Amino acid sequence: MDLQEPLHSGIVGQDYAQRMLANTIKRKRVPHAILLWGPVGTGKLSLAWSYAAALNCTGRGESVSACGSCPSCHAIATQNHPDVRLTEPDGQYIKIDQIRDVIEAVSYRSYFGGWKVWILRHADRMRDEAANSLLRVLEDPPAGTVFLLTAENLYSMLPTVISRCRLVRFNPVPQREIESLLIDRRGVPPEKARLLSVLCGGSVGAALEACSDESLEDERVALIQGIRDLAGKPVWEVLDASARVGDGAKRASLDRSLRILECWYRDLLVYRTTRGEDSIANLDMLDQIRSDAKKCSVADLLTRLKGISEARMQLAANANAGLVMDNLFMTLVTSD
Amino acid sequence: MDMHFNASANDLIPALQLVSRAVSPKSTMQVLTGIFMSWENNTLQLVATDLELGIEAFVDIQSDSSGKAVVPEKYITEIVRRAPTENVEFSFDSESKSMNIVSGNASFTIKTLDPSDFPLFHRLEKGESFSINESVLKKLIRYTSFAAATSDSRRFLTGCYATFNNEGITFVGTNAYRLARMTAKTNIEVDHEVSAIIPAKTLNHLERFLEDSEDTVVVTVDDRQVMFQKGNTTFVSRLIDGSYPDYKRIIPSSFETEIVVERDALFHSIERAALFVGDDSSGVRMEIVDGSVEVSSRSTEVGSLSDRIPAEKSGEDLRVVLRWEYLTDVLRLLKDESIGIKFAGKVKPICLQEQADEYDYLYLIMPFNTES
Repeated sequence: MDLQEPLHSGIVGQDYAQRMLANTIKRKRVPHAILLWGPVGTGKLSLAWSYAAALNCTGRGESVSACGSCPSCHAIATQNHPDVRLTEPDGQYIKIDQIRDVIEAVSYRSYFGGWKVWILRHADRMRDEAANSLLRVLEDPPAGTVFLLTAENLYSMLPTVISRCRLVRFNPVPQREIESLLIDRRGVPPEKARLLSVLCGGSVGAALEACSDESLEDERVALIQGIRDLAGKPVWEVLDASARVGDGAKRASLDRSLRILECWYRDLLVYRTTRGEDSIANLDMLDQIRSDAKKCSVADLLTRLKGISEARMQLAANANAGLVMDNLFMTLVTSD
Repeated sequence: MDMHFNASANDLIPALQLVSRAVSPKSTMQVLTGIFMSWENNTLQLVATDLELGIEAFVDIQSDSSGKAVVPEKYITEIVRRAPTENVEFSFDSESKSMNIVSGNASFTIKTLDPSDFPLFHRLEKGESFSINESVLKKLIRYTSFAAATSDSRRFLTGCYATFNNEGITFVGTNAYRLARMTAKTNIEVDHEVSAIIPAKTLNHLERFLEDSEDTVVVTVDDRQVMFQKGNTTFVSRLIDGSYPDYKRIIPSSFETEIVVERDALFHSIERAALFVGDDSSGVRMEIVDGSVEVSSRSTEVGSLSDRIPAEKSGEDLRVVLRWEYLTDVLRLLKDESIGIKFAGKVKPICLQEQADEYDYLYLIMPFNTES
């Protein structure tokens, strides 16, 4: 059997997921529940729609991928297919009433006679009572029904729900793939594509969003220049600078600041160890990279990168943002 | 390009009101908040669906062209209802996708939705098809669908189990605490027995539409949908997935006690007793002794009541406690002035029956399991 053809979906870097789902169609062994999990912006939802389209497509013939032009594909593209539906969190969470509606709707026989596919987006943001309610239908699903759950964090899901799903893992997308996607499909200039592809941390979604975000460029230049200027300055100035970044900032904006810093020290480390310019992300700052890389040791750079990753973990654990940034800035400025 | 047609408000209003019943205002698919219109050869087709139930109706119009549009249900019925003159002129501008409606000096323009997004139900081509008498179908629904569950995680209980074979049509509705079954002994021609779980919601809409007439309704069932056609109006409903429980097992074969009572006397007595049924759903108690039935109820907060009605009894004395609505619901339907009620035991089903040449009716109530 030819297992080489992945499910076409317009996403990149998820070969395993695409092949795995393609195989379920080819072998006609469609699981009743699939959990697509992995980092944000890696194509989970896009692939879920493509899978739903392929299952119901009337024009795909021998191919495993949807034709994109039959009535079913058209209805799915406009989100008007009565048998292919989406539920996503109403506010912060998926609520039990939403799951009740899902259970009611899937209890009917298929509208057009094909597969009933229900996409539950952010299934990791489901209240326990909603998850338990869903569990009953996952245990005894109506015939011809497929649930496609997408989630970033498996740890916030009930193990009983996870155990009833086929797991399909999504990986962070390789930087080179994102870089060429930005150039080829979005016409982003190569220099910017390189930077965004490194900054986005493997998330195509984040890279695409950053394409149209004007403020990113200003912030990057200011932040990097700011941290360079702090070298040799007294402690209070360092703390002043960290307060400007950390105080009152939202989680998303702190996360972006950390990525910018991480990307900067990554460049220094790359240049320090390879002297190569092929993989540098901050290409517009090549001169600064050359001069700064000379000044610090590999060990120093690693300490700083570790500091950034610790700060990220602390923020994820809801630590006080101001203190985390103070601590980080001290590490970044004084470790050499 | 503009596409025109003229319609009479008097023809259009009932058709719009009928199909509107299938529109679900809370639908997540925007196109379902509209009514699908297609006009061609002096006929206007109207369709609405909430994906569970679909209703289609046709209206005679004067058209010089053909076209399709989905118009928002919220406004279209009201626009036509409030039209100042009988004649209503529609013109659809395919460029701006808006519908202009002119009646007398009033002119409305409303935005429409894309008709190609509208999930028109597929006509049932395969599947069993047969005709039945309109009043028979209405009666089948009226006597059974009320007994189905209104909401239950066991979704099959929210539907009526319909069986069609050469001996007749049987509808069963149950919520696990009561059960109604009616068999209409009518001649229908099917190749083999067909059964389906039809949503009670659909049946209730259909029952409101049907009349007590001798007209014919064409029923078509396949494994996904059921379709009812009367004249040029069509109801299509999806079927509920799952297998219906083997309800026949709970129909008792022997009874301990039987009574014959005046229907109205029992009805009013139960209604009186219902007054003192508390929120704790303690139920109405029936104590059956020689010559009478004592009906009583008690609410810890309000008070208590007792009443006695004459009855002919055979068999053992018996005391049962039951939900009063389960009894009054069926007493409203039964025709005979004096009715027989059979009791299989203290916590076994209570059985009411009505038999006639053209139908058999059976109704079971499960009493409360109480030692008090």
